[in-house]
Amino acid sequence: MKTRLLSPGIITLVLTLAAGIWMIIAPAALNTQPRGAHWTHATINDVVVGGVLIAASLIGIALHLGLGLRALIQAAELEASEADSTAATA
Amino acid sequence: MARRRPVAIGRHLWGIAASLVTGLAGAWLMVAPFAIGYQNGGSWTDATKNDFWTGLAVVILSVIGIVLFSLSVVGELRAAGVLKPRPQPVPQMPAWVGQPAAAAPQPAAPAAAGSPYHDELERTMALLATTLAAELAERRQARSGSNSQQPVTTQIGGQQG
Repeated sequence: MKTRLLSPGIITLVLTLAAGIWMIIAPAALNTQPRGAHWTHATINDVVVGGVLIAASLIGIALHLGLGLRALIQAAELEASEADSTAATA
Repeated sequence: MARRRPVAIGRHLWGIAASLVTGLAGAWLMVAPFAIGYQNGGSWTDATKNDFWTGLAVVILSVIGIVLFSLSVVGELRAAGVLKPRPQPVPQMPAWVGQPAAAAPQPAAPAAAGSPYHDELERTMALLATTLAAELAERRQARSGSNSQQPVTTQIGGQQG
């Protein structure tokens, strides 16, 4: 019986999280947003999409880790109860 | 009777859902400069280039993520016995089979062949999970022990009061 905590897919969510952070800082880093001026449509779009990317990746990572830990605990409990029942019958 | 192993595919489905959302956001990033109108023909501006290439990278990552999480779902279903296991290829007999034992090569030491946990992190997490499970079981036992005694005293106290 094999219980893995992490799926390889979690790496893509971590990279997407990094892409979201980049989208938020990109208008300032690339100087596409004039300083002191109102945000342009491009800046607003970048910040909003970056926020969506960060939120979706963080929720996905948190749920994956949380539910994975719960599955590990359930598997360990199952193994312990099976070992107990085996010892009781022996 | 052995209890059946629970199927835990929910976490992979959440991963697929998150990848779908990020994929849609990436696709929007690619078309946003033209849809919103901050790229009006001509050569692409820096903002357009950044949005398009970052969006493309996010879309590719999301597709890879969906594939990997789907493979994890299939793996979980196979491990739980819901899906049939993949047929294993029949190994070819090596040339030294049937020859005296001295001619046969010595097998290498099995490197954690029986261990279900391959990574150091997973081994640590499994140890943590086992400890938590043991503690929970102890607490339940203690609680059930105190519960079996508690009602009697409470009842007597209730009758007296």
